[in-house]
Amino acid sequence: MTTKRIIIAVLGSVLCGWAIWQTTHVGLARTLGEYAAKARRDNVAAWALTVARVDDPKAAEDRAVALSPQDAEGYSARGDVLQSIGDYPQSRDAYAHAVPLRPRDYYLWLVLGAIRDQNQDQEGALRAFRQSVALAPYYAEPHWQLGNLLLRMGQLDQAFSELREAATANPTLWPNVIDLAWGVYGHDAGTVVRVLHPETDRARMPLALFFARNNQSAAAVDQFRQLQLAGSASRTLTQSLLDTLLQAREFAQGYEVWARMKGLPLTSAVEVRNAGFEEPIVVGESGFGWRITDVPNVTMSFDEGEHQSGTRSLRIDFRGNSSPTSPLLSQLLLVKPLTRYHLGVFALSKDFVSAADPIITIVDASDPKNTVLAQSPPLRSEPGVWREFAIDFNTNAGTQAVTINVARQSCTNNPCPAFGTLWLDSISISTMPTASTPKLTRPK
Amino acid sequence: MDTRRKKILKVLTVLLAFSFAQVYVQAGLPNPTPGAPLPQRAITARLITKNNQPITVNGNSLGTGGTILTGAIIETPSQIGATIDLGNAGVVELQPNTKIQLDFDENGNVRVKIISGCAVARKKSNVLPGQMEIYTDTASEKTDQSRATLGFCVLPNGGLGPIGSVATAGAAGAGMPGGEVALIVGAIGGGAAAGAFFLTRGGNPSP
Repeated sequence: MTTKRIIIAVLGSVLCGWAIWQTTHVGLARTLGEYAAKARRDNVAAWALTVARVDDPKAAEDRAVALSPQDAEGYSARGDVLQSIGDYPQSRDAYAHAVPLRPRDYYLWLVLGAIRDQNQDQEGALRAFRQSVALAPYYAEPHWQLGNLLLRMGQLDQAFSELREAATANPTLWPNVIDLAWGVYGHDAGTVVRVLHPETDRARMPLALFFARNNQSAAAVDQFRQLQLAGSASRTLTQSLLDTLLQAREFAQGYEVWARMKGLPLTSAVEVRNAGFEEPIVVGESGFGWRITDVPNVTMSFDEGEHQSGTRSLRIDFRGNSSPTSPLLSQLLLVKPLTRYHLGVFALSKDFVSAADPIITIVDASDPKNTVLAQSPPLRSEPGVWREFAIDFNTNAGTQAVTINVARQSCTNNPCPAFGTLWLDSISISTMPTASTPKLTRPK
Repeated sequence: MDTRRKKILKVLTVLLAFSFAQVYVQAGLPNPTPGAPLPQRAITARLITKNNQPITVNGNSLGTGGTILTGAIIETPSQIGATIDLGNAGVVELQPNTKIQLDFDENGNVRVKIISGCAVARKKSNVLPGQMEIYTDTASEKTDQSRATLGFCVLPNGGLGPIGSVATAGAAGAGMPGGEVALIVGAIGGGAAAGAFFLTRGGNPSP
């Protein structure tokens, strides 16, 4: 009985000693490896290596591997250090040693693939990346690296299949995938959609934005129509899409996006929205509603005390110097080309004093030169009496939209202050027969 | 010692031995399979950035392993350089805070328009017939028989100046044979790729 106990005690001691020995080796090797990896950018780590009597990070890694030759960590750290000094072939060899020691680690396969690719071994890289994907099918990076390699190897269908998987796992990659497809498929929007076949809002919205930015407004709106549009992120992106379309002067498509944002039906009728200022105006919002510009010494408010129709009007108070030609208020309107329009507006002024009177201008928004199509007379009225102003204008062949601007006349004086109050209400627009339209005549 | 205690001791011994034993699985790498010939290769380049830090390509964030197509606008932030591997055509290296437009074709013609910052173009000699060119709106420099490497920065007047005169104050001229080239490339490498393209572990855990 005593002999057995002694044997068990000796065996246990040997086992414990062996375990301590192994643990010490592994720990020392990993510490050396860690310090070696840091040594190039960390003075403390470099000092630690000096204390350990190793000349440089590479020597430290060699010793680490020698201390624990069956530890994948040592080889991978060695591979990292060799990478950092530009020794790609040896780095590849180090990772090739690490991978069999920990074959189920997708990351080791991933780095091995990257190093093989760096060493012009695309076939080897492909195998490593595929193994990494197999081990971590829901991670983005293996799909991303594999997809990029396949793309460079010319295997486009497989490449975009992998890139799509990567972007599904990590949606921030979608813009990159779209950009690659756009370049590879010769800027063909239809093919890009076919290859990427986006199925979610997170995929479709970046695609719509990309198309809008690359003058493919029809394709952009086509993607936009398929959106579910849920959540605040969608609102932000939709606003970006709208801004991009308007910047590209794609007004019809922009209107479709804006109308859907606002929950309005699409209509072909030309109309001034919020014509009587009965609804609120959201400051700073782009689109097809009223836009208010923040101009110093000019304040705008709704006034229920004065109105030509409805329950209130827009009141503009001038309180000093301001840039006369800065638009105070504007609205973008879809119109038809080569058509004659009549814009009516009611205005009331009180105690208005300035060298530059307030006016309304109609600007061709489709024209990059912003040509003024028409201008109202000065918006002044008899005290206490609303006055109707009429502005008739013709659109050009390329005119898709016009901007109604309320500003002041240009002023020869600088500064050019203005004092007083102007009210606006009941703005309307209607088509008029053009000069070329044949008129019906009553037979005599 | 009774039978029950013996059994418990045996089980404990086995467990102890197992817990200390290290099981190594030797897995061989898959053998290369003789596959079908590859389809025609797309004209692409490969991006390498320091520590896989992202740079901007066509307005999008991109790191090591990303693919660059011709016509790309590439911009590096501060502290991050980049290397663009054009395969047989050569390599283009960008210093931090550099913006270029990169055009290239299958004949090895590479055009680097420096919009801001500094870039080095290194041609792989005698592989492809094309030239490498670094240019701005007002100046242009090309590789030739005697000059396989170009390294320039855009000057405030829109011209091109050798990297030394702009970035490191007083280094060599633009001809840059041999050792000077190595120095400059090394200097860029310090901020640029310099081989370190560690990928990042983790992220995107399985759903």
